[in-house]
Amino acid sequence: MTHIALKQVAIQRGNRRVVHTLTLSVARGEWLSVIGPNGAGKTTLLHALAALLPISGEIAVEGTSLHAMSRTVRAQQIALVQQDADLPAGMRVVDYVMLGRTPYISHFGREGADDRRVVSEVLDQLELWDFASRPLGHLSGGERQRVVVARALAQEPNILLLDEPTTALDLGRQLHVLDLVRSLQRDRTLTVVSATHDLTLAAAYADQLALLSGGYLAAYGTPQEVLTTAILEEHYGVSLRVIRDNDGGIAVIPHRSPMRNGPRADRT
Amino acid sequence: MTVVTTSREALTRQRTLPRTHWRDVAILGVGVMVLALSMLAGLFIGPAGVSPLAIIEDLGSHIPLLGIHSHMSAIDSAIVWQLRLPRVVLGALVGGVLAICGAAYQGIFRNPLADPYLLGVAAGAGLGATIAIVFAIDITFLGIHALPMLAFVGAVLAVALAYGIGRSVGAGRSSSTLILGGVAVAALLTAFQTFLQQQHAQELQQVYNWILGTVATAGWSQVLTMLPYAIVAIGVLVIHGRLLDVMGLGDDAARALGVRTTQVRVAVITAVTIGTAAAVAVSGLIGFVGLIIPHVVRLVGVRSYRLLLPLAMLFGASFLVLCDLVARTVLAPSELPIGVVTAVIGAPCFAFVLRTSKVSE
Repeated sequence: MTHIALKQVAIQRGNRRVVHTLTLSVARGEWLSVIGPNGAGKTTLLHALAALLPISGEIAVEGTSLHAMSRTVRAQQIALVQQDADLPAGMRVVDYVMLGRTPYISHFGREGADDRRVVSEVLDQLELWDFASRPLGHLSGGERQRVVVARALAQEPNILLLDEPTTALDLGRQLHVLDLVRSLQRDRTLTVVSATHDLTLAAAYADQLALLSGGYLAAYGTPQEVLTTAILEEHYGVSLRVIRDNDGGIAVIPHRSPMRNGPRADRT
Repeated sequence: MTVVTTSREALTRQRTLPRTHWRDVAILGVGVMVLALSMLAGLFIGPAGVSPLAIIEDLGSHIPLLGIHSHMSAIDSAIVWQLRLPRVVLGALVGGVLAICGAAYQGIFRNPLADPYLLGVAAGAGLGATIAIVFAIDITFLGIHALPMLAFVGAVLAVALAYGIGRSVGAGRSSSTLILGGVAVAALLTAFQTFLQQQHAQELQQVYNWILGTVATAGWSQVLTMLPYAIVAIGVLVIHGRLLDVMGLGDDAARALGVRTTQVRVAVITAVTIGTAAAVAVSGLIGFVGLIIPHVVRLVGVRSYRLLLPLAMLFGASFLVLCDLVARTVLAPSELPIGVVTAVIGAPCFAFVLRTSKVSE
């Protein structure tokens, strides 16, 4: 069943059109990973899905246009985990996670028993009780990422948008965060849309990949279909090898010397 | 590997967050006590040497059926009720408004160096006051004299101008364009003020005295002038406490949580402008309170704006009442400018809190 449908979506940032005529759909409970070189429009696409940017065309969630929903209803369905999310250093973890309840609290109200129950459940599920009273500034990179995910889950969304969820994490922490998202995806039938640079991890976790290049959808399909030497070499502008093992794992290995003509789609 | 608990496991070993409502009430209670003690000190102590017992006795004599008779002379009574008390109340109002406004601006602009004068209030009020003084404008409107009125109008116009400039550049999205708009407006208006001062050097002392600030009053009129603006400003800011916490995550994150960031920013800027303009109109440019008091409250461990705003107000009010007490007693019968006292007392206190604080930024 289609959960998110993008029809002829074009997105501007300032005077620059970053994403062009994108048509794409994401099924309920599916994990779509958006890949592509720097400046391809990955973050812009996620921000548009969170209704932070004006678009032309239409984005519909369960058949309802994103821009026709009230802000509150939208925030109750869609949670965004930003790249380098701003964490106020002195704020306690529990207070930060509680801010995720904002769409459920009236404008000038305060949180009630229901909100405390949801936050408690999230702290439980993400094993954050030991950090609950710790200031955000005292957390390590992996802990920070879990806390940001916790705040997003406190929104009780059915769509989770993750922008580069694993950059700056070591391999173990990367798997930890992604495993966590996958189990949430299964337990809560969350639809996940993530943007990432790590093609190998994208292949390991996502159900579908969308390759954005220069603001256009260059390839779409399962990791097996999208991650081919020909497609990746064309859009990342480097020489590389794609290795598949017998369990369906895919590894992308760059050759050491880059091709002379440089990355085709990199505009930054 | 992560072990994510299933919902059944979660139920058996789940903990729930306690309500923190009463802790907040207790902390605010401490703030109220500090303010009450500061105001009593301000009322009891002064160069006239009226004994606190006589003041309490006089207070009691106003309560019917107690049968208390006051032995206070008419002069002492006038000193206490018509000079000291309005002065103490005005100090509390001005200090409270400046501190809560500073805290709100630090939150909404996510800038620890923000103070209530950030968007040009001081420069606008300064120009208005200078115009009133050098042209000896002597009109009253609804019982308000020209100087406070022009200071208020100047302050409000300056912020409106800064907001207009900032918005036209940044489409209302970015707070840094608003701050830069404030810088531009402040520079322009200060230039006008300097020019006027230079042309009318004989009134320089008067302008200078106003800039240094005072909460000295000639009765209750300034308190009554200030009161409605203070109530509106404080009320609007206090109800925005939780939204300021959300805004602390950045505009994109706040909007993704369903918050109308532009509306919140406009509401906060309007409230701060009204409150600060009124404070400046009745008391001049008292510095330091709006910048430092919110940080003192943060350094003692209060982070949520829900608690930080009212607590900054209570501490700011107490601080200014005590500073005024020092200003009018140490060199009695002459007075120190209160702006000097706030800096001289505030800076070392702040450094001390900063040093002993265990809470890292």
